Amino acid sequence: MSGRGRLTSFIIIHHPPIPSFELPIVVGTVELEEGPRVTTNICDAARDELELGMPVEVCFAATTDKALGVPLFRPVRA
Amino acid sequence: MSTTRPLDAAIVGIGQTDFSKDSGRSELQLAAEASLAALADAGLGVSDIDGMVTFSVDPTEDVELMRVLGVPSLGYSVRLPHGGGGSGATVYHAAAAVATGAARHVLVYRALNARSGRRFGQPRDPGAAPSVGSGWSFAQWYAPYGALTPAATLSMHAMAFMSSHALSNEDFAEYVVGIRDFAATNPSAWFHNRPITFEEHQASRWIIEPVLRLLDCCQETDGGVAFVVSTVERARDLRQRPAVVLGAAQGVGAADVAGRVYAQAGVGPTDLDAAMVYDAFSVEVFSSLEDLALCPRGEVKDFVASGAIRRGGIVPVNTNGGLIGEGYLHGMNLLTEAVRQVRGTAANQVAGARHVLMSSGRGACILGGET
Repeated sequence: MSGRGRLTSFIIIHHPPIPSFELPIVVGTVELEEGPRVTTNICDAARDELELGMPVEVCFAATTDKALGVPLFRPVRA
Repeated sequence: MSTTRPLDAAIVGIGQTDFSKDSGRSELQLAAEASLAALADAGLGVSDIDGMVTFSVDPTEDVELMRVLGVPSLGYSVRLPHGGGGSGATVYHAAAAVATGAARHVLVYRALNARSGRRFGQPRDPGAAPSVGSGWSFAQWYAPYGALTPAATLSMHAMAFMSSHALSNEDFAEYVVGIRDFAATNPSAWFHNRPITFEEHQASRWIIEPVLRLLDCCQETDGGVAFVVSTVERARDLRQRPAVVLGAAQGVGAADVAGRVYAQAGVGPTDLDAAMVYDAFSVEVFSSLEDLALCPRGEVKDFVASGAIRRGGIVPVNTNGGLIGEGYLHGMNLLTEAVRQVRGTAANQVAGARHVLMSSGRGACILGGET
């Protein structure tokens, strides 16, 4: 898969606190170029940057298991 | 569209406890108190009850409520799906039971300690098994990313509607100011005597940006609500003016449910004198108004801004203050408000109300006076 898609929904969670997360949390839905939609977190994005339809690309958050990463998405930078 | 004639049924008694943040008693106790109040209102005794209806997340079992009330036996008992979405469907199931003779008098109940007990607005336990029967099993897919509250998951859906309708949180302020005006003059409301301005709404903090501010969210409420459904003929011998079930339906697809209710009742959206519309969060009302055909698709923003659903508007909505202004009794206090409007006894009475709709999306009904 290309790892690219566009942002079809996003929210910024301000309250209440969520265990093991740091507020604010950006949750998004990404429609992949190949069609499927996935729920994810959007990282490395300033508030004013977030916009429905914006292009995003996958990145991986490290886990305690070195072989596994959690797929997250970030804005595509020129 | 499959429609039939209306079911032969009426709501004959309503009851509720105080609405608070700390009831100091069990949910079973609250359910029993509300049930006894509804029976007294109707002029019925506990032994008249032979049917019960509630919905998926209510913690009180029918058998426990039977035991504490002293109900001898049941010919009909059902627990509906979809959590609060099922609140509007209770009327349909109770009406079907009495109309078919499965039961003579059906008690519908819901009691919760949503503030002093398990707080509804707090995050779900991400490790808990997906709920079955509440219609929320989809929440498991949001959990790994921190969307663990009803406000968060609902807002994920709301963004698409806001985008296609050019709605912003400022538009929601218009709605919330209107229902806080109703709540201010409803002695049962949590926000009795506490109206707000547009500016106060906009100054409240973000809960879920850019959808919901604090004042867009319903209360976490402790309390109980109950009502009794009987046939129209039996209703004539009872104490109150019956609120006749002109139409009722349950389903998935709010516009379809509404269409079936209108067709059954022979009543259209423009015939409604008032409407009670599920508002756990302000944004829900906007999509519901279009699903209920109270305004044309795509026009809800201007419809709400025109004052159409406020006090004195063409179709006042949530005249008790709604779940945001009166309290979150999981939709059931919108049904009792619809009954009061038909009886002519609401705190914010719409003069001469003859057709009053209640919708929780997955269930809806139209109540009216006897013709």
